[in-house]
Amino acid sequence: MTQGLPIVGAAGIGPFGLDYRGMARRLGGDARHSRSAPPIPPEADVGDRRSRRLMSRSAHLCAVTLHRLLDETGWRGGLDELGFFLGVGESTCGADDLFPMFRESLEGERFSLERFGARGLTASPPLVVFQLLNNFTLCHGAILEGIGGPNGVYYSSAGTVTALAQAAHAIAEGQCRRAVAGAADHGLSPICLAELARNGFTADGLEASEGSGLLALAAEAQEPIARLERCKLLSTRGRGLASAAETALESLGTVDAIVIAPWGRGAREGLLQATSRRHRNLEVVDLTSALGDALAATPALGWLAAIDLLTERDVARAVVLSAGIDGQLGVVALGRGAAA
Amino acid sequence: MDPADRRGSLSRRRVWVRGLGAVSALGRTWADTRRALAEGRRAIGPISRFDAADFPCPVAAEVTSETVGGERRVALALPAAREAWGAAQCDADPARVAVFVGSESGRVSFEVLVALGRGAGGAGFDAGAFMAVAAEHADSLAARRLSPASVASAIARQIRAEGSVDTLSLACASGSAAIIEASRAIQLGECDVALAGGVGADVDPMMLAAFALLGATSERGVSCPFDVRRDGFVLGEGAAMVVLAAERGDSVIEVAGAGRTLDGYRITAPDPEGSGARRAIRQALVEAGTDSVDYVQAHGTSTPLNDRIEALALRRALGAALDQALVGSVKGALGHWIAGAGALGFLCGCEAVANGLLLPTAGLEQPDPECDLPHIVGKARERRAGSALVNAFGFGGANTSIVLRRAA
Repeated sequence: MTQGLPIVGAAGIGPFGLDYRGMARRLGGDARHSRSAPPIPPEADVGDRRSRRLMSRSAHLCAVTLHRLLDETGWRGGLDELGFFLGVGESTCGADDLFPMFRESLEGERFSLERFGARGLTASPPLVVFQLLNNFTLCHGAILEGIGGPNGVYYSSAGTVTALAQAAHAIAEGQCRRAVAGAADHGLSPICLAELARNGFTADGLEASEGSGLLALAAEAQEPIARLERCKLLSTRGRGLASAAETALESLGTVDAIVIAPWGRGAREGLLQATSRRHRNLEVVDLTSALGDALAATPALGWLAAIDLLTERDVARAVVLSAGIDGQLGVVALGRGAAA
Repeated sequence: MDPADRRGSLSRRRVWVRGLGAVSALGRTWADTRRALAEGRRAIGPISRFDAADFPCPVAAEVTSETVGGERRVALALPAAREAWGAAQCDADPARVAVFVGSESGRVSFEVLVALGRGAGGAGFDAGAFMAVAAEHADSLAARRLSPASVASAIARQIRAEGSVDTLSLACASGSAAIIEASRAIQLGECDVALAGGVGADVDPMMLAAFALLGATSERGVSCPFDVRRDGFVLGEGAAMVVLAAERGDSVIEVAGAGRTLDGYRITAPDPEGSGARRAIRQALVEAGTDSVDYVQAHGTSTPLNDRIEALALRRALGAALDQALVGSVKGALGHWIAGAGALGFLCGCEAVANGLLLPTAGLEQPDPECDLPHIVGKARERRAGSALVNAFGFGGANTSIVLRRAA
């Protein structure tokens, strides 16, 4: 990947809005955004009411983002060969869908498995399972658009970097000529918020959010908006996050801008330490500080911020560093494309 | 041009199967499981862990071992991983050992979900009450119980792997997708050894209910893939793990080809023409450089539509060569492991290629004319097999196919 794999389109939805363009500018300084993505206007929405009813929040965000991306790239033919690789979080159905099932299963104050089998089952939408399986974050959009190529669904933020790497591999290997890669996640569900609180992350400053970010990659392109120069997932075991990030930055040579996408305070401190030592004069965009943590989607939103820097500012090369509690460091280097 | 025909431009390393391991309702090891499968035994029976009498499908292939407590996925996966790792006898730098696991989320215990449901309030959702109830059930909501990644992390710790640790969630294709990713990582030199596989632990009231709501489970309580009487799948649970390596050791099996496609058709049904499945099979065959295989471990779920469409896809992908193969589906004996299904199928394919043990489709007595395949009925066949095809097709239309080959 010496020249870099062409990125021919990008799209995202998150607390920054329905368009990632101008995002880096809006993230500067002490800007704080809502933790929710804005409502999706009817003209931007996808599917019909019934199909949307079957989607988890993550799947819905992903499907809308995918549709916008395909519009932007003009990829409307030959989608049965299009690759699609996605990082996802734990898919959860809405409380409104799930809890009636349990309420109908109560006999007085006592839960009755008999009632659950006989009556509770009919109280929730029959397709609730399609919200519970994680891969449906990808499948709803793929089905609406008719995507049929090589694919993968990878769990959580490190998995999002893997998704991008696999998309690049799929193109390099000739499995497909074009691929979509990114992530979608929703950290604002009641169960997710409860889990974050229980583990002490909320008290430690983590603010969950939501979002979806997708890139369109192609084997070749005349005027790409950016180029994917490197995509690696590195283990930090035995050397610590700051040291691993420093080494990664050093190996990349000249870098004009850095976007950090840390999961939690420890990761933020490590990434800031790495960037401050060797890149004092560079602007560092702290994505999760400004937008909250969109969990699996955070690295992908970081790529969008980097592309925005490449296209809107005098930046030739931007690096996105993502890290979380899994001990893995995501390193994605993006270079300016001809269209920038 | 079929994308499969453009493949293979990169110089790649070969991928060898070095060790297998499984925990199933038929045995605590793969050795025990395959012996039982070869005899045509079946593990499906009434669910014992909870009262499922009023559920549409009250049976499953349960792992009832007393050691399987706490977080079921990890408890099932670790012994399977240990067996595979021990059999592989790989001596590799830990930094060059990676882990790829197909897994869905862990399930909050049913009791906790019920309590949360109560906490959620009456007509509208009461977030404050919900959070208070959630706090009471804090341990049940811990990440280690819910996160799909907790299985891969636990395995990495167990075998002291320091390479990448990846979790794939592609529903019923998760386990085989993990094996495909592991193979690619070895081919491309990203790691030298990979422990890969899948785990399914969905025999719980919530998932039993969810699949019943879909109408996907058998109301007769019988798993009989490709049989004219089939009416849905029966849930099973277990873990299947494999060690893949760039170094051959004394292995005779290699991963020769793989294909991954999406149906892109409907959320509730597979493409009626089987196009996505056919393309996945073709990709795997082309990558393996062959037009035929000796054994097919079919996805074969025992649902009326899926079995018919898989049969159609196999016929279209393999043509007349299909008649020279033999076809089995392990789900007749062990039920549907969902995220672990593809990995279990992979082990069955390995058995055919390594030992000439072609496992049957238990429960198949009256083959459906619309599933016109060269079935293995009753007990296993012993026949030398130079190659095997393993299919796994997931809810939502994710298709994977893998070709295994016996090396000289």
